[in-house]
Amino acid sequence: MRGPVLLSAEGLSFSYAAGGAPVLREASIRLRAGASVGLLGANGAGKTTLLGVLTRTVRGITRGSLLLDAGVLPERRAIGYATQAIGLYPMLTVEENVGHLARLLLGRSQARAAVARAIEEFSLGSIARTRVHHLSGGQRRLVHLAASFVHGPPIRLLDEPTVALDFEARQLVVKLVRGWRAEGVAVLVTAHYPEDIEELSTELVLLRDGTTRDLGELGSVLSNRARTLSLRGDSPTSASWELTLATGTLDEVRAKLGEIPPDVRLSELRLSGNRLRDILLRDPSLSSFAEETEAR
Amino acid sequence: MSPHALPGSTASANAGAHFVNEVGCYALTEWRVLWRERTAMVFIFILPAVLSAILGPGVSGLDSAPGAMGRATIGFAVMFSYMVVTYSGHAFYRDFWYHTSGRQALIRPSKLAFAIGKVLPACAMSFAQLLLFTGFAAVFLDLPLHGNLLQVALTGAALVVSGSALGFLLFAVTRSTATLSNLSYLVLVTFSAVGGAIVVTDALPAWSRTLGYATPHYWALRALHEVTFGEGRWGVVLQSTAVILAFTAVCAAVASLAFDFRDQKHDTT
Repeated sequence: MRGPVLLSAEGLSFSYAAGGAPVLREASIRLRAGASVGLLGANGAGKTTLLGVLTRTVRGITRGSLLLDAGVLPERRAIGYATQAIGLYPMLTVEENVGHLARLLLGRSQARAAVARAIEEFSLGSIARTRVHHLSGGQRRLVHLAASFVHGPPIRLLDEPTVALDFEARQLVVKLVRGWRAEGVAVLVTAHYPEDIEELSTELVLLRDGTTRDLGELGSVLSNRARTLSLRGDSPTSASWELTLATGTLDEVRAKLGEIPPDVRLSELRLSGNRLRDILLRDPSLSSFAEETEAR
Repeated sequence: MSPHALPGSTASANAGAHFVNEVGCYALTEWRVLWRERTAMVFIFILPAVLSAILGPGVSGLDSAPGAMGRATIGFAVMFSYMVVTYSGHAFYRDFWYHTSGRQALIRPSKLAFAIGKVLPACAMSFAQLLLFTGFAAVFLDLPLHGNLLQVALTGAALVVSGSALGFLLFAVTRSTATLSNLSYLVLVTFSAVGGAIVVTDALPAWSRTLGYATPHYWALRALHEVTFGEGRWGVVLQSTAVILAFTAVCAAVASLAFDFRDQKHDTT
């Protein structure tokens, strides 16, 4: 279910200097409570600049409208922004880094509880008293996220949040973002890999040459993409194999499957000593969509 | 009491508490960084002590004048207290080294609270150095003290605050740490030289002495000289600190106008 719009940008144009080349041209985006917008675009498309303009953290010439509706919360408390570059003081411990922002944004009285909550949420308990310069890149990324959202903002912007994360940490971020959505937080996420956008987002916005294209809900974007039906198994030499039977939309796959005589391929495989392990229907992925979009 | 008095006073009390909280946050973080990095301790405390011990009054042109060693020590203390320019500038650049500048731009704290919090630890360190060295010189190096410690403290506070304001200004108008560091060392040496911290001003050429009037060092040493070898007159001390504070106000005002939380710097290392 789509919640109310918390942050809305309409017709945003931005250039870093007067007379300079525009980085954004008529870009529009809406962040709704309980929804997560994935911002997809090639390198240099203007993703980070758009996030900077939405948070008003970049200096330049901006045109268009930017509306924030966060109730009684002041802007600094309403928006959390985890930048692409990890922003932490290396000589400070995890707790001190997170605490610095908690105290700045929430005041001394609420900071302690907020830090404890963030450390638990991001599973940082075992390294809470470790100085940041002793941590791995992935651990620093998690601390950076924890510090960015320690004040529990209803709008959260994440620029490439999965960079340097190992599988476990990446899964944690995916779980957290889904949890935030369930709590009614509005999320905007950019990522290098379409797989990440796919796991972290419910809506998709394409940014190309500084202009946005709202592609709507991710599910409907993917439902029009091709699926692949294939067989997978092992050969007599135990080498695994995969045989594509049909590619296309769900209806196309069904139709093509009907054209294959039921026992032909399976009997061929059996005769040559192959063993069938599974039948695989691959769902459409955002990767193929991104590849096609970039190629266009 | 007017019905609006309470909400008004509550609002200003909240604003005051908010301001103090912001200053405290930045100051605490800066203090932790400075304390753990150690280099500030070396430059502010150890270097002037070592130079005083090695060079003593030899470079100052005082040779065996009464209290010469103590006077030279004060000169080096004043000179190196101005490392506060470098460390204050670095405190602001730190957010670019560690990519935390975007956060300040998002949070947008009060410029004044941010600036005070950032420079407070380096200021406190330099101030403590000045008091410590003056006290040491008075007790162990025959430096006379005709005024009182309050006058020393007032002069020292004005001097280090002027250095911090200058550090803030250099940060605001430069684009890289290297530029800031070079400029601040240039300031440290030239201000100390023409202001009389290295060589007594009487030994300087006339044009250098004229330049010296434009430096906080000259006025700080004038006040300290009054407190030590002079008669400890408050008029001289207050006049000197007023000049230093005027210098501070100009630097801080220009820095505040030039500084924007959304500024980008070229080097982030």
